[in-house]
Amino acid sequence: MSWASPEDILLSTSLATYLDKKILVLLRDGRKLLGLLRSFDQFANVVLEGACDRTIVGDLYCDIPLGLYVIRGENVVLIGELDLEKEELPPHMTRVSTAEIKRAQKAEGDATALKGSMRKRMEFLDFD
Amino acid sequence: MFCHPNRLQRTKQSPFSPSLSLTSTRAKSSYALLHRQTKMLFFSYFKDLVGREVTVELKNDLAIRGTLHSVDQYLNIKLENTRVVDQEKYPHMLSVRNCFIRGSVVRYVQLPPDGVDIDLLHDATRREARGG
Repeated sequence: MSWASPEDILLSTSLATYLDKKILVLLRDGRKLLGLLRSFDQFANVVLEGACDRTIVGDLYCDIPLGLYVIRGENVVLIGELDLEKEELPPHMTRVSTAEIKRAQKAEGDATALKGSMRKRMEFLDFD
Repeated sequence: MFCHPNRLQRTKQSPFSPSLSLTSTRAKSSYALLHRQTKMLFFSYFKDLVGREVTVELKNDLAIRGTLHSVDQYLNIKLENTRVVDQEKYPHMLSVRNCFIRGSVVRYVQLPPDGVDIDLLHDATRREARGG
């Protein structure tokens, strides 16, 4: 891997343009990590400084601070550069504590499970 | 890992490194003229599409519309001026205007109808199937 010149970096798919910038990393498991990009390589392994895990449930969100993270590239879905002049989230969303977001997640999980079990019961009745 | 520009490190050359250097993205080489290019057909094809509006649908069902900025040998994609197709469902993507998408998570790349010269692509495919 040779070092690309500054002009080449601007035209290539290099993550160098995002270095030291605040980025959003979407992971395969659905997690959204935000932080400063400090390092990367050809596999899209990434070092994130000041990382925080943004959990969103409906209109509620919570940022859980994680510190310095090394992310293995195979888990990376997308790396987005956050525009600092724009709002990161829509204004109607409210920030809540970790305990509250966990409660909201559990409630959402229970509702989905209930919907699933109800559907199974209806399917058993076999309306044709 | 790329850490400090002053440290000259040479990593092992990958067996899948392209015969074309990535710096030639500026050259508008037609993908049909690249013969005996094994595993490079779509890379060359996407390079010709740089600057066009595309919609990338990912395996996690997220669909992003944007201008194709660049592509690499792994078919990683960099998009500019991005907008998410179903914005309310993905509020965290609101302020993202440029993004890098790992090639392994792409399901579809939706192209403009005039983005494909089907005959040219057809010929290039036949040539690669024969020569590759």
